Amino acid sequence: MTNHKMTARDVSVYYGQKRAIDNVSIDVDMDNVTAFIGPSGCGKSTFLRTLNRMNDTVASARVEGKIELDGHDIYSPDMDVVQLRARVGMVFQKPNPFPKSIYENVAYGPRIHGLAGAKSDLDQIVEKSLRRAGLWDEVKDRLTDSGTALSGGQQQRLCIARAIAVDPEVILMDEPCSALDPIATAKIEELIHELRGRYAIVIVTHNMQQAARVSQRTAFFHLGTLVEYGDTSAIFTNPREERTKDYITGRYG
Amino acid sequence: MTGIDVQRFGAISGLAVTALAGATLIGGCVDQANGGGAGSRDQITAVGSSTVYPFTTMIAEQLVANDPDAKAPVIESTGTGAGMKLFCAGIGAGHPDIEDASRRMKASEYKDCAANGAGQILEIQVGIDGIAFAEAKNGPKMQLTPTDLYKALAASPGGRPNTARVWRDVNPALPPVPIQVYGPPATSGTRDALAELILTKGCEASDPAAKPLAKSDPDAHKALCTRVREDGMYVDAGENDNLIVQKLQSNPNAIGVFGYSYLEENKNDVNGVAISGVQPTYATIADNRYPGSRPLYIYVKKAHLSAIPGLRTFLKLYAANWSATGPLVKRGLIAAPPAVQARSAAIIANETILDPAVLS
Amino acid sequence: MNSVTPFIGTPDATASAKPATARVPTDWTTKAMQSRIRRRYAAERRFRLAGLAAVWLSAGFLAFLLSSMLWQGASGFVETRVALPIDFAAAALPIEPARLTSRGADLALASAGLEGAVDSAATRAFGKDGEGLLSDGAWVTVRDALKADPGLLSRKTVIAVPVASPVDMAAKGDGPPEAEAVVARLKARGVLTRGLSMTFLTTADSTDATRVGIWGAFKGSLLTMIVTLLLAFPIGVLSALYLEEYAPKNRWTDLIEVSINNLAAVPSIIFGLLGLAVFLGTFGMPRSAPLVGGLTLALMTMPVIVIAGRNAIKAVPPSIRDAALGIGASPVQVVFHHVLPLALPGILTGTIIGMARALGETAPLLMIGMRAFIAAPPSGLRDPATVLPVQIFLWSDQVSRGFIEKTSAAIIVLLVFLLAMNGVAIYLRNKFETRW
Repeated sequence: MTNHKMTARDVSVYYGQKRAIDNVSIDVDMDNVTAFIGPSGCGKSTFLRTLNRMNDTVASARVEGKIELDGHDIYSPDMDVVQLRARVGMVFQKPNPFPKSIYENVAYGPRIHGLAGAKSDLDQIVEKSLRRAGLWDEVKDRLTDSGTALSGGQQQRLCIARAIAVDPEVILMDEPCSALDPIATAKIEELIHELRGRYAIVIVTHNMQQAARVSQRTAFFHLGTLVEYGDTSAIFTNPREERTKDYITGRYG
Repeated sequence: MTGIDVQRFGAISGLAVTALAGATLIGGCVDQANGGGAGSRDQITAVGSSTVYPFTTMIAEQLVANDPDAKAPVIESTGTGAGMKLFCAGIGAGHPDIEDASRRMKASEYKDCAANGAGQILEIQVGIDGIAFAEAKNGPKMQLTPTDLYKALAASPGGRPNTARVWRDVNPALPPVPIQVYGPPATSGTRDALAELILTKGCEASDPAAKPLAKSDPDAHKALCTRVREDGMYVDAGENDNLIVQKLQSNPNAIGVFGYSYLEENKNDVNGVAISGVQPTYATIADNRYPGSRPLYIYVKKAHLSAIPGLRTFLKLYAANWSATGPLVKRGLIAAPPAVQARSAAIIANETILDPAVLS
Repeated sequence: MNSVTPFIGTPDATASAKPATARVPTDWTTKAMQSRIRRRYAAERRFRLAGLAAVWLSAGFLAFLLSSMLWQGASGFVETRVALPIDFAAAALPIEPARLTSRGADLALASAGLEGAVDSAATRAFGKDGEGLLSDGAWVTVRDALKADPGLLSRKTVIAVPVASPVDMAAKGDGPPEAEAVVARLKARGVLTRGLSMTFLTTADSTDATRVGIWGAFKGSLLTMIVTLLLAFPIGVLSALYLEEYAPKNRWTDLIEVSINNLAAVPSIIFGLLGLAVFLGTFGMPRSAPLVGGLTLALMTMPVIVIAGRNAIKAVPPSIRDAALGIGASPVQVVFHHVLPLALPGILTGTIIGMARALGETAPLLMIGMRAFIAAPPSGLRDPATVLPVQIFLWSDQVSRGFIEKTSAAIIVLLVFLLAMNGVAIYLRNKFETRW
């Protein structure tokens, strides 16, 4: 068995007394796009956020179980959260570029992590990230324009560029296309395809067809539990669990 | 503005706050070390009467005009009574050097002074003031006596509650105009002068039992003769005498009570009311014909004369300016008789201390 | 709909529906309907008119205030001068021209009898009342002319000196009758001029209306405001940041929040009592000093900034914080690089309001002693000083009539100061305003 990039074992998440995630175990690999699917409120976003400790910002959240990145427990006291979040980047559901210029949006991360020495290095990183996000040709002449002046799809690609700029190893995407129109969505899916080899990608989506198109491994969540986890083709053509079959055939959700 | 600038701003402001707070506390502590109260002080401070205030401030101004390097004196108008409390609170940089008073210091106040170590003081009479009664130019042109005023203003004239509503109730010779008097508040020396010069005189004139009461039961005497009614006929118009002048203009039936200098300055808008047939003028106040004339004093702490630079110069300047032809008279002061002026000048020159036996 | 909705449980509420009644379309053209529509539009118009009337009324009050202040106070910036011929050569003052450029020049001129010489020149030029015609500060103008040009000592010249207050008031149309006659005579001789009173703008308090100036109080206000801002702004902003971003949500923070909200509503005089007891009493700081005034006002202004700051910070959407956290920014970086710049316009608005209130506060400063007559402007934070509102209050109590226009002029200066302060803050706020 190849070494997994990230492993989660028996992870449970509590908000106060309420249990939101119940004993989930999943692997994330470098060469794969892993999709989390399931009906609304089933906990897929919550679980995604445990992977880069974004749940730390919620005071009542408590995580049990073990999540490892390259073999290191990310919840251990000697794991630097700031560094973790640079290595495990996140793209959110609603595009949220900083109210700064396009250049500044992408340059911010490398700057605070000290990844670029001279301005020319920073320029290079910005160009590389924007190219990889498929945005360079559209904005190369207006890097000083505000990031918020772009269209929805462009803003999301800008957010992806921003996440890429700090050279992550894993990119988490929380329903990245749900706020976008079909054409922008197609562009993003194409982008995910291109990024696949370089980063481990985990994508949460409520659009089953998108999961089928984009991912190699799929995990189906329901009411906080992991119902089924396996190769995408297997899940969609021959699901083992009854609930999975019901969900995929559109009986509910 | 980039985020880096904001961070730098945050750091700088944090430093500024700490520095300022530190400097403040250190400065405060050093002051404590220098000797109590406000530590060291090199400007002259004076508190007290609003009647004497215009004259003391004029001398302060002249001190600075003559020598621009001198520290400007700090003169506050607090009212004679309140000023006495501050003055008698002690010796040292945290307490005023001079008290302006529009009446003589009381024996009880001197006791406080002595108890707090401020027993060695100079009493210097700087001039005379008249307590003037005024009405608007189109007023009822009344002629009053101290007895009329006592019967109109006292809380309980002759021991019975005051029921007079119009001046005719008090004296059938007066017009049936409603009693409305605007005067100084209880902290003011002018009010003390009103009580002592007018009300007490009227009280003792109208009630033969009152005079012996002063010796046998001073508190009862005070309550009978000097307590002013509080049912709205006498209105405390605060320390702001300009306000009284304005009120007289809008209410021609009212009478206002203030120092003579205000009457003289506002001659165009108000008329003086004759008391016992005597109009308040410079001449009648100077030679004591007008019943409401009173001496104005400044009290100075002897211990401060050597501690505060310029205090002696200040007093000498005062003495040089209080003559009948001097600038203070132009400001509204009524010069004291030459003998009194000479005596006051001698007190300044010799730094003679006040003998508490003369106070009452 | 015209059909009746049956209650659950009544026998009629069955799944098998009754035959559906035909829907009668609403008739919008009936008289009742038309009048209803008209009434709605009328209400709309009335509301708009009420709003407009409110705006006009507020603007009217403001215009009334400003115009009456300008009307009364404009003449306070102007002084009347009379051309005084003065022959220094004949006066033969016992002083060397060289002395005039040295440090002790003022004292030397005073002791050389300059004031007397000016008075005699006035008597010679204008008759026996000439001396009373000039302001008490006229000799200071002559002194300054001599210091500027020591060569005058051996010549005769004409210097425009300020007139005494009654004459000044008469020239402005509001003086005693004798003074009006004097003014008429002087105007006939053509020796009266009017000009901007630099004295009013550059000197401190005085007992003479023609020598009084606003600079002492202005400098006192400036120093006090600087101390207030330097203390209240950082403490207020940092408190707001901590309370919003870092503090745990428990009973202690609730208590702190309630306390700060109440502090903002405490009457200002209570801060004055606090200043008197703590700063003057316990710490022994100098009385009437801008340092103490600034400390007292900072206590008063800080809660306002904290409240405005908290609201501004709360308004920053969590998506921005998430985005910053997501790429690995530490909490401090999130706050200072993202939250604070976005919250700054709201914080600055709160600061403007707080500082404007502090500028006009009189009561707490009266308690700590900034209510004295001080004939010279403060030279530092620890010198006794007074502030603009208190100076206005003191002048309104003055005997001399010339002070009425000076009081109004001082109010104009206060309003200008306020506008300048707000202008700076609004400029800063607009600079930081970002559109998202």
